[in-house]
Amino acid sequence: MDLSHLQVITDTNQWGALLPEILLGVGAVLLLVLELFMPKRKVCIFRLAIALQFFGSWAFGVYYRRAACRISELDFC
Amino acid sequence: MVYIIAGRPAGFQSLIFAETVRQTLLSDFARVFLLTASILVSHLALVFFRVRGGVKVEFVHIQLVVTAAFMILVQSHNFILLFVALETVAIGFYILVAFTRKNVASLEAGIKYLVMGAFSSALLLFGIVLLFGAASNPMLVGATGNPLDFSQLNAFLTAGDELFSNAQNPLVLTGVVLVLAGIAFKMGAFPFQFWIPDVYQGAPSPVTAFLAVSSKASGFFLFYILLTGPFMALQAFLYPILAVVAIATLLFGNTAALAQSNVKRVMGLSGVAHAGILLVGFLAALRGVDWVLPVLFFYMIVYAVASFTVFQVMGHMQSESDEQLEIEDFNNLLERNTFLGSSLVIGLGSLAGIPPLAGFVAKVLIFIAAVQAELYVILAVALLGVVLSIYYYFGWMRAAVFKRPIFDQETEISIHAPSLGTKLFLAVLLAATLVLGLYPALW
Repeated sequence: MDLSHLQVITDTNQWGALLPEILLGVGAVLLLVLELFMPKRKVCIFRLAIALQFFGSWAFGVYYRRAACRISELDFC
Repeated sequence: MVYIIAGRPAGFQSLIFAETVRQTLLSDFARVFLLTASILVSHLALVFFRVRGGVKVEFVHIQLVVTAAFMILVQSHNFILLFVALETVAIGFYILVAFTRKNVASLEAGIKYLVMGAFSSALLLFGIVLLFGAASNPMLVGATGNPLDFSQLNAFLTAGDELFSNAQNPLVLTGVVLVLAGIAFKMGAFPFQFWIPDVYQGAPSPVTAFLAVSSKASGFFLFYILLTGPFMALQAFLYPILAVVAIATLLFGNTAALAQSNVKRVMGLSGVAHAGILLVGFLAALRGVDWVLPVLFFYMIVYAVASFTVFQVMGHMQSESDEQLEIEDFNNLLERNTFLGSSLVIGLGSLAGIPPLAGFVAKVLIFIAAVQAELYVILAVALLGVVLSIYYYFGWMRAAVFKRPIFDQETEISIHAPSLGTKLFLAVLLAATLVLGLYPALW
């Protein structure tokens, strides 16, 4: 079975480019697990979710800073 | 973050994941916008659940997944990814709209949204299938092996000779119209706005805000991505259709909102009118007024900020049922709670387009673009819409500022005092409305 075709397709997979989305998805599952262990700390979980989204935007910024540096060698790199 | 995006080269684009994901400056902006909107929705939900007793964290799990799907949706460069992301969003919303499941109105809204959403998905899917069938037909010039890819579909649509180009193929035209109809549903553009009043009213307030801002904005982003990407060759065909849709959306949204007394219905129908104004700007862009595109994104930010301000205030009203909140429930709000009252007035003022608030600047810029594009009829309808919108927005503002309660003090809806965190959130939103209005060059 030749998997080289698949290899070509997956070569362009840059998971880092979708870091904020991945953070949100994984974070949603982690918060669900957290809720199982702390069923009464609902407000806390809600606040964690808000923090997670801030973290998602931070991750977005960090990744793009690196990507922008790689592409254009901007001053702030 | 905005600085980082602004620092990117103008023509930046990155095709990844076997060219199914396309990252550009627009998609970056859209992702930041949707993520920020999601943070505001989460906070709104926390306030909402606290005021009504009992925080339900399931909400935030679903909301995070929906936001991630929204963010992938605006980067899609392939119809399969677009459809999967759109359906992930839709399924999340089916749950969120009916989230307060002991409330009959919320359940009813959920079922209505489910049926209408399934209808729009069917339209979209049917359109995609027609495009796939036409573009992969080896009998046609420029047939492609992967017609679901936006670049290849664009190449197919521009192929052909003067006698018969693929862009004139009835199958293709039907497919394109159906795809855009499916997306117009999300955006709330005429004639796919009919679900909005009932669903907005029945859904919990944070979900209504989520629908009003993120769903509408992502619909608009998709519109833009498709019309400047795979459907670019069809702009001449689509222009008159979009012009009619813009006029009808403006007229319907504003006239229907005039007759409403329920605040969520007012917000829903005025949102339809705002979608119409976005379409006016978009039509000007299609006519070659390029500078209007950043203004459209500015308009979306302004609309989101003002909407979240109003929804935050609505979230503090301790009515028995969320969907029964009427304009008269806000009577004398300014005196009862000065901070919430003034926030409501500024938020509504910005939505109405009152100077010097940000909404005024955004609307004026779009209207200038319409003049430059010589869209005089559409501009006249838009101006009429602004006049009508002042009537219903001012009616609400008048209730909050001048009106005394009709009944005894006991029958008034009590107001939940905003926490320090909420005050901070609201202060940021109000500052954004004022600063962007007074100094739009910041954008």
